[in-house]
Amino acid sequence: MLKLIQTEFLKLRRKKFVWLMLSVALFMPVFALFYFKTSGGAGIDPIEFYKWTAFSYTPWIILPVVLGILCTMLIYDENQYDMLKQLWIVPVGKMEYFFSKFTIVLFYSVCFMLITAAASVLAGVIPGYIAFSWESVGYLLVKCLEISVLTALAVMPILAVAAAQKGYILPVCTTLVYTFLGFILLMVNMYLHPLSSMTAIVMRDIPGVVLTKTLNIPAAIGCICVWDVASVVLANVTLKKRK
Amino acid sequence: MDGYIIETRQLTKVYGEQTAVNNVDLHIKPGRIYGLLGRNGVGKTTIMKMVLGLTPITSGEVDVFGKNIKGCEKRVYPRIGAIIETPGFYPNLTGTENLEIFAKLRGTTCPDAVKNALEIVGLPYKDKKLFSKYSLGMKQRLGIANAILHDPELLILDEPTNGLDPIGIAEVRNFIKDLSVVRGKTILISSHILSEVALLADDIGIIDHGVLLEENSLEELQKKNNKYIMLRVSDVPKAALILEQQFKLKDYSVQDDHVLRLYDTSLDMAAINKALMMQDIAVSGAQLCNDTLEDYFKKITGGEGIA
Repeated sequence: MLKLIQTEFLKLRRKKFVWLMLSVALFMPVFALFYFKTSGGAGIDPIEFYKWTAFSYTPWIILPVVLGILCTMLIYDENQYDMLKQLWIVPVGKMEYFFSKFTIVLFYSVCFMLITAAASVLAGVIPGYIAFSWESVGYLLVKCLEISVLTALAVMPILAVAAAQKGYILPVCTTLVYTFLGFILLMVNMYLHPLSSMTAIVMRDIPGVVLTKTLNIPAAIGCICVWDVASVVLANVTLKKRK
Repeated sequence: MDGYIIETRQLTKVYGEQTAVNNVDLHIKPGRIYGLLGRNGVGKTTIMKMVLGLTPITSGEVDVFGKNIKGCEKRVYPRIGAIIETPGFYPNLTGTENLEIFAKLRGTTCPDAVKNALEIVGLPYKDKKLFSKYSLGMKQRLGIANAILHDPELLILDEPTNGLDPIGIAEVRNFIKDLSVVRGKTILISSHILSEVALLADDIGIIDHGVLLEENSLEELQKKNNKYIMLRVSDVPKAALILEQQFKLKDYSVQDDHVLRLYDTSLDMAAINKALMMQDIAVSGAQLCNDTLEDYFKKITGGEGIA
């Protein structure tokens, strides 16, 4: 499995789009630079600032869409170039293959959120909007890691959809629908959709954020787990069929 | 007969209403090159996929290294190198990088495995050229390099000379032959190019419409080819009449307006020649001929030959 994960990293060499997508992690911090400049703000509460740069649109929309596209790319390329036959006769196990892809998604998600965290600190401290404090940076890092791990787990169904068929249109469409559905369902029932559950878990202790309903953390984690188990089963069945 | 590297029994593959492979019994002996010969779309690739466990078998059995492939794939694959259809690699990587990935996945212990494999197929090691910039011939060579990277005992090569130029075909043919003769590899190779198979294979299986029509050694197949006398005359109907009346000959065929084939090669050609000349029929040629493998292929498949 470790060898497979190592080779997954080797396969990303010269993939400019994968690295380009990481730059999207800078979007909200850069946007915050201009937003807080126009609102004339110095001496902003660091948590308030980070809520803007790292805890709002990034986990709700930006990161799930980026990870969905990454999932599609990771699987689609091997389909397009007819690589799977060669991998199966190495032999590479179907589930090892799926989980090695997931590991890349998880690693990418962590990198993405760490870049967001670093950019948030720089975008707040350098122009003097916020005062640097280890406590707030520590909180930001913990939250970013939490978001990255939970979001990677929450997008596993997209990885399974990408693994289930050869094209890229369906997984990309699924990414968009899945992401916005997660955002909408958060207001209706936060235990139906993994992204809703993920958002609710992340938002539970952010100062100034009030959830409309009381959060049941085991139920939210359970929702993510149920979808992930279903994704693994779907991937297992479809990859076995697609020899 | 015992000790086959690959043996299939009543191997059948049905796609919906269409039977792609029908009760095929292959017998591939160790250290030999087995050529699976047939036109495009007759089921060669499907057979290879079933042998490798890459496509489910509708009915029948496949034994590889004496074990049923079903359920044993993971134990058997490290002993096999294969190219099925067009070999695919990562376009953003160089040939060396692509092979390094497969060497790592296979746990290849030899440090020079990638270098050696590339040398055998005539591709440069540590070249900067990306796979996406490779010609079809280079891609095919890289596919073969990947198949031999881990020094497997059995090679399954689906049309390995596809896309190669004539010199490339000869090179690939030579190293495939070397792999069998020098290194003792067993090789199953498919092709629709009869001359390629005839030059390369020790044993040949002829397949048509999913049915294995003939399986034999090249020597035996060549022995089976018809011998005949090709007689070139000025008037074929008149010559045929003379042959039937004077020589009681029934076993002949008319090829065209001027050519007859006489299948009894023990005939006294001098007497025939004299008889024809007496009847004012000019004989411009009489030659003892052998059917080619292509003629044999045409005969048993009941259709047109292949390249």
